[in-house]
Amino acid sequence: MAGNWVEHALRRSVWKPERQVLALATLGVVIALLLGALYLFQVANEASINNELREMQTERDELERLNQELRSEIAALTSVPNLQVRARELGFQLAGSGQIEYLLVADYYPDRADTVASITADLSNEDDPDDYDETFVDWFGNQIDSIGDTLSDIFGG
Amino acid sequence: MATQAQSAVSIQQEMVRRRAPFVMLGVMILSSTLLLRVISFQFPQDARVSREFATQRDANAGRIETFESARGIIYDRNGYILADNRRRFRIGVSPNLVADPEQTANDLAAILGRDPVEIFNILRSDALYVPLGTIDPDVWQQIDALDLGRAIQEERLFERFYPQAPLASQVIGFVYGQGEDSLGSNGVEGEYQNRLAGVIADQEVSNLPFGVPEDGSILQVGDDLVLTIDRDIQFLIEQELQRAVVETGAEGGTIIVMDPRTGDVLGMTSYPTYDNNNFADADPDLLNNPAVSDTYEPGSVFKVLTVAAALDLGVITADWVYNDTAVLTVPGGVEIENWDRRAHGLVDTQGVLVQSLNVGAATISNLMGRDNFYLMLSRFNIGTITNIDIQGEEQGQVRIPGDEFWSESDLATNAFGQGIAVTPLQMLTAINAIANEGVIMQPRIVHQIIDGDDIETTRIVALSRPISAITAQLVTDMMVATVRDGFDEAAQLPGYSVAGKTGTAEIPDPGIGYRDDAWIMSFAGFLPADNPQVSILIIIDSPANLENQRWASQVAAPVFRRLAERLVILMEIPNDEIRLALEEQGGMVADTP
Repeated sequence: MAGNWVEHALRRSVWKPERQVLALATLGVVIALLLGALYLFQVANEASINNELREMQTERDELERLNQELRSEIAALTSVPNLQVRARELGFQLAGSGQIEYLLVADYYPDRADTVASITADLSNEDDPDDYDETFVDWFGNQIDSIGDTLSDIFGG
Repeated sequence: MATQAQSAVSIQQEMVRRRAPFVMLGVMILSSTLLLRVISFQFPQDARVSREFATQRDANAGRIETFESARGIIYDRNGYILADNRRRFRIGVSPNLVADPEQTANDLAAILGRDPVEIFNILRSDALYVPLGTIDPDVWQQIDALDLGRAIQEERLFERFYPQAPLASQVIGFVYGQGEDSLGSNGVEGEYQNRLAGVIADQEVSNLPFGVPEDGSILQVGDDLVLTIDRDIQFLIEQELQRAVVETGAEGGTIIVMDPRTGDVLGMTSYPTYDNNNFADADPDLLNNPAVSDTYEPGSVFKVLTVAAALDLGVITADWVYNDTAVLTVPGGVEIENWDRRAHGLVDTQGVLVQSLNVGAATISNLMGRDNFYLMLSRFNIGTITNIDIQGEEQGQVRIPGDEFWSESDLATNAFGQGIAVTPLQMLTAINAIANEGVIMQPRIVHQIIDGDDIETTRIVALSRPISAITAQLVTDMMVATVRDGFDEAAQLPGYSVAGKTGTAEIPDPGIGYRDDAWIMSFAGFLPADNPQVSILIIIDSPANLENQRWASQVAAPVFRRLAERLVILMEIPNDEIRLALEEQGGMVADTP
C-alpha cells in the first residue's frame, strides 16, 4: 500500500516544464555562459597584459643595467689618468703657470645683469594675447559675416 | 477496501503537500545561510579570518622575493662619478627540480668555468637549494638561456664600483657585503650610510598569471651625494704626494686642499693608500683616512696660532721685541732651544715666524699665561673634532692645566707645536681662520644631497671668530714675509703672494720621548695672500736621507710650490698683477691658449 502511494505521488510529481519556465532557464544558462565568457575574457586579457608588463619590466631592467654599465664605463674611461694618456697621444702637454697668459678685457664686467638686457624684461614687453571669450553666437555671426563678405566680393564687385 | 486505500493515500498525499513547503523552505534557508557565509569570506570582518586566508594564499599563490634598490651615486663637485653601482646576480640551484642533471652540469660548468663533476655532485645531492655564487650579468644571460625554469634561482644585487679608483679612496670609503648585508664603511660611505643605502625589502610576488607583476621599482633608491672634492685637484695632490714620498723616501704623507672662505675640502689624500675596489686585499691600517683620523705634533706651523692669539689678546704687538739668547729655561727646568741652537738677539714678532724661533714662541706663550694660551687654542678648535662629515675623525690631544700629565713646560713647548697632537684637518682649519679674516669655517665634504627631485645643499657655516680681522691681516702679512724673506722661500710662486709657514716636528716615541732619526715635515699656507682662494697643508712623514732633507723648508715647501703652480691653473687664479688690475676695474679674465 505504502509503495503504491509513493509511486503515485512521484508519477504525479513528474515535472512538466512549461514554455515560460524553459525560456527562463535557457535565459539563465545563456546569461551564466555570457558572464563566464566575459570573466574568462577578462582574466585572459589581464594575464596577457601582465605578461606584457613582465616583459617590459624585464626590458626596463636590462636597459637600466646597460645604462648603469655605460655610465660606469664612461666614468672609468674619462678618469684623469686615461684623459692624460689620450691627451699626450694627441700631442698635448701640461701648461706651466708661466705659459698661461691672462688678458684684461677692458670694461667687461662679470655681472651680466649690469651689461646684458634682462631676458624677463624682454618678455615683459611682449603683449599678452587676450583671453578667449568668444561665444558660439559670436562665432556663428562671424562666420555669416565672413561668408557675406566673400559673396559680396564675388558678386557685388 | 479500495475506497479505504484510496482514502489513506489521499491523506498521505495531503500531508506531503502540506509539509513539502516547510522542507523546501528549510533547504532554502540552509542553502542561503551557507551561501551568505561563503560570500561573507569576501568581506572578512574577523582579523583571524583574513590572516588565515592570507596564509593560505601565500602558501599557494605567491612567493617572497627580496628586492634591493640601488645605493646612491657619489659625484665630485663638477659631476664626475666617484662611486657607482654594478648589477650582479647571486644564483643558486634546486637539485630536485633539475630534469637532466648530467646535461645541466655540463652546461653550467662550461658557463661558470667550474668542474662538471663538482656541479654534477651538487645536482645529485638531496639539498633543497645550493648557492652557486655571484656572477656578472653576461654570465647570467647565458645561464638564463639554458631555460632551466625554477631549478635555477637568481637574485639581483648591486655591487659598489669606484670608476676612478684609487682616487680619493680614503675620503670615499668602501662598501662591504652584498645585498641585504651591504654596509658602507669609512669615509663618506660610512658617514652617510643611512642616506646612501637603498631600501632592501622582501615583497610577495604572485605566481598567478593574472596577478600584477611586482618589482623593486617602488622601492626608494639611496640618495646621491655631491662632494666638495674636485676630481682634478684630488688627482693632482695624489700625484704630487706620491712623488714627494717616493722622492724623499718618506714613510708617508698627507695633503689637504681647502677653500678657506667656505670650509670646502677640495682635495684630501694620504699616502700610502689603497684601492677601494679591492679594499679586502688592502692593509687594514690603510683603510682609515689619516687626514682626519691620525694625529701628529705640528711643530713650527703652530707658531702662527701662538702669535695670532697673543696679538689678538693684546699681549704683544707687531712691534714687540724680545732678546733671543738661544735658550729659555721654563719652570720645571726644561730648556727651550732654537732649531739652530743659536742666539738671535733682538727679534720682533714677525721675526719669530720668519726665523721660526722656538725661544720666541715660548716667550710669547709665557707672556700670555696658561689660561689665555689654552683658551685661545680652544677658540681655534684645537683639541676638538671639526665635525667634518667623514667617518672616523679624531679630536687630537691637548693637555691643559689640571690634567694629570700637564706640566709648566707644556705651555712653552705647545707654543711651537710640540707636546700637542692635532689632526691635519684641525691644523688647516685653524690656519684657515687667519686666511678668512679671523673666522673659522665648518669644514665640509658633502656639498649636496640629492633625493629624487629634492636637492638639499649643505650650508656653509661659520663656526667662530677666534681672532679679529685686523689680527688675521697682521699675521697674514707675517706669513707672507716668512715665505718671501725667511727659510720657506722654496714655497714662493712667482707672480703670486703666498702666505705660509713650515714646521719640522719631532715624532713622539712612547717610552723614550722623541725619535732622533725622523721628523715630520709640514707646510701650511694659502694664496693669494690678500684674497685667499685656496689653502694647502702638506705633511711629509719621516723622509729618509736627512743630510739634504733635514728641514721642512727643504722637503715640504717645494711640494707646496709645485702644487700651487698647478692649482692656480686648475682654479683659474691669475697672478697678482692681473688679479689686482681686474679687481680695480671689476672685470673678468679670459685666458688665452
